[in-house]
Amino acid sequence: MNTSYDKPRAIAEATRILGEFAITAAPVPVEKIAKGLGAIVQYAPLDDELSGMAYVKDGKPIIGVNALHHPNRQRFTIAHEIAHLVLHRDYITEQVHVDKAFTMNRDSVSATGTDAMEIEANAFAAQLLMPQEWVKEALAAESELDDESAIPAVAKRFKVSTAAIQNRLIGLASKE
Amino acid sequence: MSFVFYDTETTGLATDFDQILQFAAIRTNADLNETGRIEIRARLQPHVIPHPEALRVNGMTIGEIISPDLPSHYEMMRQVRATLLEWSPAIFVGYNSLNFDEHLLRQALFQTLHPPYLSNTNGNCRADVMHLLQAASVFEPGSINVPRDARGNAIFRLEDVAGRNGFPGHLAHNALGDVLATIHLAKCARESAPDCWNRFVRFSKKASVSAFLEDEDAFVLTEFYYNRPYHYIVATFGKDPSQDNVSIGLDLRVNIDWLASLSDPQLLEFVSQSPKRVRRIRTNAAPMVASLEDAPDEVKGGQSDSEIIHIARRFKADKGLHARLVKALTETRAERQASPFMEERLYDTFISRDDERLMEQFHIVNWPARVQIVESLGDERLRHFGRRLIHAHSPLLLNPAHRAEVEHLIRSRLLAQTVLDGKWTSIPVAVRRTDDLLRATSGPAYERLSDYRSYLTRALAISTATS
Repeated sequence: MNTSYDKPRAIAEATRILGEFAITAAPVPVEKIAKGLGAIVQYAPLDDELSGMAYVKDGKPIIGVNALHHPNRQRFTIAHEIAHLVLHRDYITEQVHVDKAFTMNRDSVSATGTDAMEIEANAFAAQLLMPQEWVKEALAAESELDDESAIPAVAKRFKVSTAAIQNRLIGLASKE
Repeated sequence: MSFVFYDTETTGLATDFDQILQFAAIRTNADLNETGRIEIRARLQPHVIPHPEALRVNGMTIGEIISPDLPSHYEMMRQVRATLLEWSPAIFVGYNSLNFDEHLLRQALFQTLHPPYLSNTNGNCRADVMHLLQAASVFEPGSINVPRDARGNAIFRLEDVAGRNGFPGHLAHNALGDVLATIHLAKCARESAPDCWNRFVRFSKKASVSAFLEDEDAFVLTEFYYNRPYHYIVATFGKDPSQDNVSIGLDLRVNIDWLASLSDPQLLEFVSQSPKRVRRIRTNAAPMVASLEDAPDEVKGGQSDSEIIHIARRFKADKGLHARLVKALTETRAERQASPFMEERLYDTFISRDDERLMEQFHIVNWPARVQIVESLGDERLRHFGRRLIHAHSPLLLNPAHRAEVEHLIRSRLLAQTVLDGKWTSIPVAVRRTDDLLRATSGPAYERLSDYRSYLTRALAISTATS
């Protein structure tokens, strides 16, 4: 199994899809993108630690989402599973890929093959839901607010959790 | 994580006043395979008289429901609650449950001093398989075999739909039998109406409904009246000022320019008229909503999705019109008077944290200690039900004044010659209705009703003698 990961490719693919669907502003209609890519999005009451899954059945990609999770968390799940469809299609065609609670900072150099896919999927999902430039612009627009108020305001605009925005900001800061 | 399918058999159709006699629930996994079940009955409470029609339908005899071998209603609810909490979080599902069983469950919890909203708190969600089948009949026609009456109208009665869709040996109007039939129909819908099933599961969660209503410029809202579907293309513009769980939306068949040109009195008239063009959507009650792209063209009034979205965006941009509509809606609301009956005051206000703590203590101490706890409750509704509970189990523990008060209330309820709006069944009402039914009944059903008629005679004599 390939243990190396390619985050730049994941980010580039997410950016390409935003362009393909002519998405120019947050919130990104992630479920419509999934359907536009030919996937069926299915909701089910899963165990709390399960966020979602991706697999291909009779040639049709299926994205499973935990119906009991908050909609913002579901949006991240769908974006993450889209990543598996786009980046790891061969893998999910062979087997059902189940995602437990995502560990956003799972970015270790000693990653296993599965972790490598998760790292790519997280990078893809973050870029799809929270494109780098849009986040910076949104933060600038909230510049009159202190950090404590600005982050929830930006999270609301992107329809993601505050934890997701915080992780995104940490990720972006580490690149600067 | 799972579904919990449940059903009740009761003393009647009055969800505030009637009593659960039998409760059944089956927990399934996400694939609808059974992983647990509970089935329990309770004996009749002293202040409740079964409606004879209910006994005729569920086939229970009066001897069965007053048997001292059965758990008390309170004991039954302790077991029901413990099981349902153990199974939480889950999606709670019944058949016509959002209009019936859930109200009974809430009342039963409330009247036994438990937090009433079990099925939509503790991470739980709720949905109704009857609504799922209704949606499937419209959005994925042919997926479910829906029986029709002589005039061609759809029938969604559980026993009829289950039979038509291959459920064998349905023990209808038995709580467990109805749960099994409901699971069977859920499996049918999941298999043959996958889009409706998906929305059914997704929109069981209030937050998912709210997010959907907020995200979509416009969507299709479907409601059934007397088994007939009515579709509305709706754009939401806020929340009901008096109910956080209710979103309000405009039926986009209304001309927006015309609407904006109305004076305030005309707008008041507009929001009051029927059919209602301002729709109220209960986000916590699994509404039948679908995105424009998921809805068949025939429900969209001949307009394309882009035309509808254009109108919706124009309406959504007019914040001034939204404010005027909300003001008009508020003015149409009559001030609601508090009911003289505690059962009808469930939704008046939430139970305070202090009282919730006292309620928890109530259940873990013995009956003598419960008296003191009940008297320290701040909520008069809970004190009322607490005294009634203690009276049902150990009446002599109540002080004479409270005991006399409870007994007076029970007698006045049982002996009422007439009952306003048929709120509950009194002995005289049950006698009259039983006599009517006896004239039209024969065989074993006649025997059961005769036994019940004799019981009513005895109950009347006892209640009259003690008054």
